[in-house]
Amino acid sequence: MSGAFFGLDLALRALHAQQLGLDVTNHNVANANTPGFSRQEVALETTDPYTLPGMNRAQMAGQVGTGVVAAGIQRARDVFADVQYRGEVSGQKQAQAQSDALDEVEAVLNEPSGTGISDLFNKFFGAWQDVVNDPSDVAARATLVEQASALSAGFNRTAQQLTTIQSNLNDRVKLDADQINQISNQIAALNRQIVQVEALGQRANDFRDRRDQLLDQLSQLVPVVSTEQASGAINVTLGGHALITGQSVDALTTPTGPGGMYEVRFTSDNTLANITSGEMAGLISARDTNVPGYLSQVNTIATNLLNAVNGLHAAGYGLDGGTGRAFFTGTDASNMAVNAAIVADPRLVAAASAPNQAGNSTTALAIAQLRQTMTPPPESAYTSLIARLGVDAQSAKGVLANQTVLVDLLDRRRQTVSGVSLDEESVQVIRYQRAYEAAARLITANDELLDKLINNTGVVGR
Amino acid sequence: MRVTSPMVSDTVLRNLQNNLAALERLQNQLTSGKRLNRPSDDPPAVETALNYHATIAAGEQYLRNMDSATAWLQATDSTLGSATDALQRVRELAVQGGNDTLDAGQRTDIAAEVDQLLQQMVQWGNASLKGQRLFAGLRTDADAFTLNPGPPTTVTYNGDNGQMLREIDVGTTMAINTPGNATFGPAFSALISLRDDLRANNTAAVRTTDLSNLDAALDTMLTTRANVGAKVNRLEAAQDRQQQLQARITELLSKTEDTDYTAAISDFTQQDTVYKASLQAAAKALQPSLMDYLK
Repeated sequence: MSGAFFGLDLALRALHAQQLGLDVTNHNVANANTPGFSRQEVALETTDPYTLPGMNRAQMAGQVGTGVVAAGIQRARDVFADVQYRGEVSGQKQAQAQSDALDEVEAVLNEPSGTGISDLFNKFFGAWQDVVNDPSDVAARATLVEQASALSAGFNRTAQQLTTIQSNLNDRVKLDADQINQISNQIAALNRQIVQVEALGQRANDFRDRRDQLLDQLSQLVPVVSTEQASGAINVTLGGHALITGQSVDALTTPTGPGGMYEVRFTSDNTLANITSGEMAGLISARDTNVPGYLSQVNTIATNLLNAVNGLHAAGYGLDGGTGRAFFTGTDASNMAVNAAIVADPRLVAAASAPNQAGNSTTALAIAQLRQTMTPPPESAYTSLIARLGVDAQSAKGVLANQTVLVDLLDRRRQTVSGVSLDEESVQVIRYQRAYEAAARLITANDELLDKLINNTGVVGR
Repeated sequence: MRVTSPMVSDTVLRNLQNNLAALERLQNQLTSGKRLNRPSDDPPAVETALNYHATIAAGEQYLRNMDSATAWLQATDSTLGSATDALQRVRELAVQGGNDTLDAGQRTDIAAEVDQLLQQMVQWGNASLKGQRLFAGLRTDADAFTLNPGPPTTVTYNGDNGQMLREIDVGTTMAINTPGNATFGPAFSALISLRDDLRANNTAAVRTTDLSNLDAALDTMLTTRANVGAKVNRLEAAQDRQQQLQARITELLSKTEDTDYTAAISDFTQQDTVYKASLQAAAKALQPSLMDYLK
């Protein structure tokens, strides 16, 4: 026979289990919109059944169930989808960083707007032609000096802005390294908490969610591989080098390398971090390859132009009969300017190929014709640069769009497993609520049985 | 597939954003009138557009060069015209002066008129446009000719034989000036010797050498003027062609970089409908949950 209070105990366990279910459901609903949260489930199990003792065992059916217990609280998580998501999110952020940088370069070069360098080229060569048309006209010379100064300023500004973009990218590399260190420290701290909690046989669901979210964030910055240990801690490597081992972090340092740009190195052995994707890889390739590439092309165009103009100009003669003057000073896009003496007196523009010939504009014509005679012509060199920038930016945008689709898809896959469905939780509420009510009713029933036994038994004839 | 609440709202939000971005792109094309706003919009088209812009700017400059060259050549032509007329008048005077019926006094009067015309001829030789002497070669800032009264009367050429080259098309140049020594020189010497022979009453020389010198000078003048006229005609033709080219390239440029309004408006209408539909769908998809039906 089962004991008199057996039913009461069983109903109490049921109450507890259903209430825990309700609590977990509450937690799910409360965190329906919490980023990184994984839906949790109570794992209900039957308690160990019981073989009733008896003088004659055959008289009793067995075994008797003893009710329910909440064995644990699990989070719903597709670990494989996590790995895939993190790999692709690294690629997405890499493309994003590159595309953003190229966007900025496009804004700096400002083509085809009618106000970029290509327009300044048109005006510069046009102004030389106007000097050819009327070499003794000081107004035409003044206009030329103005247009040449505008072209120089255009080159100066472009070079300076490209350098600024490069140095901003460099600053962001350092910021990213700092952020990686910060996230790594948080993950190491969570490793400790998770190991502590799980050593007691519990599941550190919410800590794990937070750690997974931090790993997501880390993957946006650099490509990382995480391996879970038996203790529940994870080890994280970056480009094959340990970044987080249990509770210790091999922090990244950013010493200034050759060229004045930050390098990303590990503190422990000072090796260069091998960063192949993630935002940091995008920043570094834009900083070290794309932007300097455009800058060097802009410099080449400016240098070739100013050398060609100066070569012809030095052999020419100004209205004052003077010769051997440079038209431009400076050496490249960053510092080219019109010779200050010529700015002060445009009559010094050496339009003539011989002294004391007011109508001689042979040198001016040769300079105007540099538009065709230079190899490559400056404008077509510039146009090719714009086209290359366009292709680079377009392809970065394409990669970004593809990666975004992929990342969204994988995130949806994670959400189908881990996301909170309010409909589902509503049903769970009802399910646990009803079970709770029924368990409470069982207590009443047991109580009535005991009342019968205790208060109303053995009073016959009273 | 298990669909969760954040998935629905995320998807709705992402699609709304995509639709709105597409709408914004079309709106930008419609309001700016430009299909190309940055190099990555269509790199080959941007490269083509930039090349067209440069070609148009260069073409406008060539038109301006040709205008300036035409002005110079026309000033040259009209001066040479006046000089030719004067030479013809001198020839008439020479024929008249060579007539034996005239007496010495009448020849002196004719010589005075020839002298006037000589001075006039020197002035034409020093003609200028915007302060630049037309016939001084490249030394345009000083008079091309100086008349030294003498005796003997001489005319010095102060200019040189330098050519003023103007670019009228890609790589094509034209010399627009007429160095005056070759053109005016024979005329001056013919006039001086005619005047002197008239004064000296040397009718034989007037009838023979002076007249033939005058004819030769007139020939030279006419040949030069014909050359100038031919250049004006060539410039006119080149200007016409350049203008047609400009119009054609402008049209090509417009096709390359301007918004195709018919297509853009149709796309815009369609995208607008899609966006509104997605808003409606979003309103319906986000609202209901089981909560609405549980009592």
